[in-house]
Amino acid sequence: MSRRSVVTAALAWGVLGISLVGFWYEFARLTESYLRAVLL
Amino acid sequence: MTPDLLAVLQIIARDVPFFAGFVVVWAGIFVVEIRLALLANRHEKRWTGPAAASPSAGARPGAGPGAGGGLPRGVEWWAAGGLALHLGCVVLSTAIARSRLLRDLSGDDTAARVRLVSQNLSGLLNALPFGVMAALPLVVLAAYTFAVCLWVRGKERGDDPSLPRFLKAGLAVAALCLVPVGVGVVGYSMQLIKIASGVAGVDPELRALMTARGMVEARPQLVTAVCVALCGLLATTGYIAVVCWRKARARASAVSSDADARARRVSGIAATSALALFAVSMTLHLENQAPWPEPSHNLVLDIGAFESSTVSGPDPMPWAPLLFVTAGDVLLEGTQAAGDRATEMLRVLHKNYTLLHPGASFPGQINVYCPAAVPVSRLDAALRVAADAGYTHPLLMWTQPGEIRRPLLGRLSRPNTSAARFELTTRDEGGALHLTGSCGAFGAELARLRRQGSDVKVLLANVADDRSGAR
Repeated sequence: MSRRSVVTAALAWGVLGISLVGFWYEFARLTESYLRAVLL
Repeated sequence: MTPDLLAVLQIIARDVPFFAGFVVVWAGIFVVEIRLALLANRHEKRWTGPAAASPSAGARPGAGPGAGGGLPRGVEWWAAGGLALHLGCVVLSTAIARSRLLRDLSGDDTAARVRLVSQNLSGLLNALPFGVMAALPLVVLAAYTFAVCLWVRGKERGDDPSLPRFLKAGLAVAALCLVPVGVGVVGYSMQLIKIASGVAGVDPELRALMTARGMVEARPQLVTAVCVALCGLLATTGYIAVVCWRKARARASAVSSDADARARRVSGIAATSALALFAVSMTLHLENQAPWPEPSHNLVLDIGAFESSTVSGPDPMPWAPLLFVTAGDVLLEGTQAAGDRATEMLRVLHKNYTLLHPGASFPGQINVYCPAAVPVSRLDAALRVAADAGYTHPLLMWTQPGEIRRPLLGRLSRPNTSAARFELTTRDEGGALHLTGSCGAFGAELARLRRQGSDVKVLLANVADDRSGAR
């Protein structure tokens, strides 16, 4: 495999990982909005 | 399994959407993950076991040493897909619980609304942590299978990769990235559950403060976990990239190899998935960042179904317990409470107020809501219960339509409130307002008197009846 492909793959997987972590953070935080809608 | 655990599971199964179905799906994924891990292990053993040492064995593309063919295509992707499928089910179940909660909030039957909201609140709080906890064993299995499969593929291509290095890399991604996110989400969700359940019996103002504050204080746990996961992700992917870089060819061949083409295809899929996830996350981010208005003056304001009233009172609604009177029921702080139960709950709230406001005199205020068509005898019974617990300065409240708009949640009902205060009395000293007719008529007269600036005393109707009977 060429170095160019390695860099491309590392970037793509890194960005996917960051997006996944970000998604779970925002998705968990959304619970607060629903709690506020009902409780506050 | 202890009866307590069974009872908890029964409650979760009742409240979490499609819980039973998801348990079956999880069990299926778990079995498949174990089978894939065993398959990967068998192929690994072909290269590391006694068969690999036999003179007939040789590294040749597409097949391992000894008997049998090479590792079937896509085993590692099936392992990762199983985990993704489970997490997709968790997201789906949580999203359904959330949408059910909002749907229940728009109902117009108070009793059904209270029951559904409390039930789906439990579902909302349980669906996410329960599913994420169940994902952890799948993470370990998928990481093992993925790492071993990539190693076997390398051997089958004729390379000489290091198995411990592949295993370490796979498990490092799981342990430093996926596990911290899972632990953070579970811990944060548990904190929210504790907040929602830990404020029962506290007086409304403090409860609003504790709930809002608790949410803010639970956040650092999630933020820390996310930071740890991002650092772990950068460290592991960076390390893997550096190792691959060293082994890679310095320049691309004139004719791209199969490995290059495959790497580009997989990178494209990963980048597209990342973009889609980023778009979804941004929508959620907008909702999470949008500020909320100040809390209403009672936490349970949104539980009961309020009607739009033409009457409004001159007094602001204070922070005080809410007594919701209907033709067939009485709700205290969003909980159905018949006579003795209501008295008991109000006494607890009274006592808690004294404990939480040492030295302050008890104001005896309670917000009372009574729809216009309800006979005033119902209000009278509720006010008697309140007076018995020391709440002798109630406020009758009215609501007018109001709403807030949220980026993701859309329009949420948030009625505007007003109130008129009065004092309960059991002595007919003349000038006291009598409870007669409907709540609507009584409320209109009370609001008129308060607007004139009068301090209104209201004679509990049964006392008035007793007096007239005695005469």
